[in-house]
Amino acid sequence: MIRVILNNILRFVFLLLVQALIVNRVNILDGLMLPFVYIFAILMLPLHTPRWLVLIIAFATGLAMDMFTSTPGMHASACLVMGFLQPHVQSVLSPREGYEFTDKPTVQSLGLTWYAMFASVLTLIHHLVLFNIEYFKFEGLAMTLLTALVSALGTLILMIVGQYLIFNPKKQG
Amino acid sequence: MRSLFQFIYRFHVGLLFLVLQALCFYLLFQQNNFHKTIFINSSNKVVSELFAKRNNLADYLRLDEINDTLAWENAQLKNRDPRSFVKLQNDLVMIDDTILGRKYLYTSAKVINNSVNKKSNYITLNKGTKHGVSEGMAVVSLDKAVGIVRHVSDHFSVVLPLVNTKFQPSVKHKKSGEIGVFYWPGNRPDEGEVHDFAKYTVLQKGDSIVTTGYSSYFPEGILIGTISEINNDPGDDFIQVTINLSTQFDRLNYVNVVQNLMLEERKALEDLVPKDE
Repeated sequence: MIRVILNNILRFVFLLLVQALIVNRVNILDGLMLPFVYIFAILMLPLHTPRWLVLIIAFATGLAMDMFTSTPGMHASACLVMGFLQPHVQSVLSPREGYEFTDKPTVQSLGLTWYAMFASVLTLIHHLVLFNIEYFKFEGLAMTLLTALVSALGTLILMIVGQYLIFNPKKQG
Repeated sequence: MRSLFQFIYRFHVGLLFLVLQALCFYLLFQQNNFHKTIFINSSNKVVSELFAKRNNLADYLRLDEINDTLAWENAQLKNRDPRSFVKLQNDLVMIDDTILGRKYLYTSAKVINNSVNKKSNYITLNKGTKHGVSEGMAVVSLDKAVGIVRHVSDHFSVVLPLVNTKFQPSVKHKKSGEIGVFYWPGNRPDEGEVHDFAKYTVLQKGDSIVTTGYSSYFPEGILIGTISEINNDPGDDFIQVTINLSTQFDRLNYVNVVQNLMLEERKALEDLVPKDE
């Protein structure tokens, strides 16, 4: 149990630093693609985490990100919406017998199809909320939606490739 | 009472969500009141130390470019040095006089964090109140406008740059002196718009757009950009132009923070006039 908590905290710090110091500075496709990989910390929370805890962790993650980007409340709000819906998405996608206790929300544990569905829905929700709060106008709605879509794609690719790179398939076996 | 607790227990997740979301929106919409949110921006100590460390590392990779800029600036300063002038007439003597008083004081600062790809971009500098920086001061780079200081801590400050949709300073067409309003549409870091030029203004492509000096922070005549496209719609009451920004926001290294030494005197005088007059 302590190992799980420690792992999650380390992952949280690592992702926040990667996001703030590297990914935020990269300019892909003239600013059209703005990946936010730090949400991986929320997606990786164990499947049976209590819902209130997911909400509080999501809020804290968003607020920590806001400190780096000087946008109080923006990331926090988007993360909260995502954290609120995450358990719902998990239960919609659950296998007929429900999740095993050893199941983890990763490609290795539940397969690529499950993971792609799970992560793409939540990433898209997060990015849509985030970009709409950031712009907060109806004028450039099409552009905002396009940015959110393209960015979500970037985030997904980074997260899935990252999993293949970090986790050792033999150890997970 | 008991049913209230039951209600709270039953919907605790939804309620928690609503409470936290309300807090987020409170933070979002009190941004103008900047003293209160000082801990959730990048001038706070932990975050700015981190940015400074990262920058130290990244700077080694950009030394070439930084050297070029510094050399260029050095040359500009050498040109102004009295020693690079030759006395042409012997009968005139310069006496240290009191005709000129210093109005603007420049402090150099290093950019330690910067973004151009969002709608609300901010720049973090490594100078703060300890170095004489305070809120509202202008920031320029190579005599071109960058933005104004928005938050300060002891050793760091956060700048609201021109490439932020929230910053709309008044600007001037240099040739005619006509006033317009600058606006950054938010998609390209090298392009801005100026609205509200009067219909009779004679504008040409390539004309300079500069700061007005009406806002008490920027010195007058600091270059913002040059006109690249003129949109004179006959049905519109004003002329709107697109400009190329002169500052390269995606490659800022060193900037100067400008302190207006006569600001307090001017403010004190202007405050004598009642607001409703």
